[in-house]
Amino acid sequence: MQIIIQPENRTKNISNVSTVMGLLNKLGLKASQALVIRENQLLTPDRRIYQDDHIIVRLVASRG
Amino acid sequence: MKCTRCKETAIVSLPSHNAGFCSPCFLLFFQRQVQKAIKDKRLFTFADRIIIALSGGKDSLALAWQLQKLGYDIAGLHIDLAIPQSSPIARDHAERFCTFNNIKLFILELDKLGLPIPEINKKIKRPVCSICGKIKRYYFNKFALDNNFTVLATGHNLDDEVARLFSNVFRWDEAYLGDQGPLLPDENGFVRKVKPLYRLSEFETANLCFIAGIDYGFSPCPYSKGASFTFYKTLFDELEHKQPGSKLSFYKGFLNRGQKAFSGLNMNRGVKPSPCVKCGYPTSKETCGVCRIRQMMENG
Ligand code: SF4
Ligand SMILES: [Zn+2]
Ligand SMILES: [Zn+2]
Repeated sequence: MQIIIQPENRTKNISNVSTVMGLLNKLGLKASQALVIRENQLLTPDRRIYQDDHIIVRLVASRG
Repeated sequence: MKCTRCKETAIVSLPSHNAGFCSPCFLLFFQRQVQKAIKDKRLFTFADRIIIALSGGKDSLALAWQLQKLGYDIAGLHIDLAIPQSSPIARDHAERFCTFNNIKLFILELDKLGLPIPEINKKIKRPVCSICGKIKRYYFNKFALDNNFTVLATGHNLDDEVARLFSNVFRWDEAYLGDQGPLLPDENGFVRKVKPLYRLSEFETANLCFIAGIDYGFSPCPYSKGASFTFYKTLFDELEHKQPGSKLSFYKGFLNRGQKAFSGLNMNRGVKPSPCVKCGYPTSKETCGVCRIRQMMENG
């Protein structure tokens, strides 16, 4: 699936994940390090996600 | 996951509070955390005139949004650091936020004050962050006192506070440990300083901004490699992940049980500051740090 990583607005293709937690794991992120957004809605780590979803992963950190 | 309060679908999961919330319930949670901080630590009252240090980042904007919602008497102060890569974007966010929310915003421009950060950076060898921080503290304090504000509020969150505390503990820095906390009373020519977001994590303020529709500045400062605590924050993310709630309990434990011992030490030792001979700002030397930086800049 297509994901956009903010703030840089990088796009990335991720496959074989079915939950938000799985997606975060693939990106090497803890649940508290990013907001996961689909159709302008926040998703908790247990939510299912699908191959044709458009997902934004917004990193929380304001660090270097 | 269902909302802990109302059983709707949750949109934020907070393992540290053993809870999940839908949007309206998250807003309520956030508000209650801020109210609890204000009440428990007696940060300020509705009679206070509060100036908020508004960087344009998510924490300071979330703070201003929440305090306005609660009905406090607030205004914002933004310091334009004159860094081409980041300052215009930060300032723009602060300005748009205040216009939209009808909050009075004051702006100080370091360029006009003869202290643009990039020029200072050219003249020194060590990272500019410590000087930048000193200048910001100076002007926030001075502006508050000159304009009869009784409280200066900053957007420091739990992650900032925990990282700072850990780094102070790691160095056993008694003086800093004695001073650290969400409330610094006004004394010796300093305005009262408060951190009403000390109970809320960076993740929580980011969620607040998303839910409240607050658009915040993303552009990182080009000198931020010299910024402190990044590494400690990463360490604590790991710890919090394994032991949810450990950040808040570490910090609260310090406030309730640790800090007293250190502030006692400081009282016996500290040099009482006296006014800077040039500008009147409280300092332990004859001339204050900012006047000395200005001197360095003027000497070319
Ligand atoms: S990263 Fe350093 S130089 Fe940049 S704004 Fe922060 S303190 Fe100032
Ligand atoms: Zn709810
Ligand atoms: Zn001075």
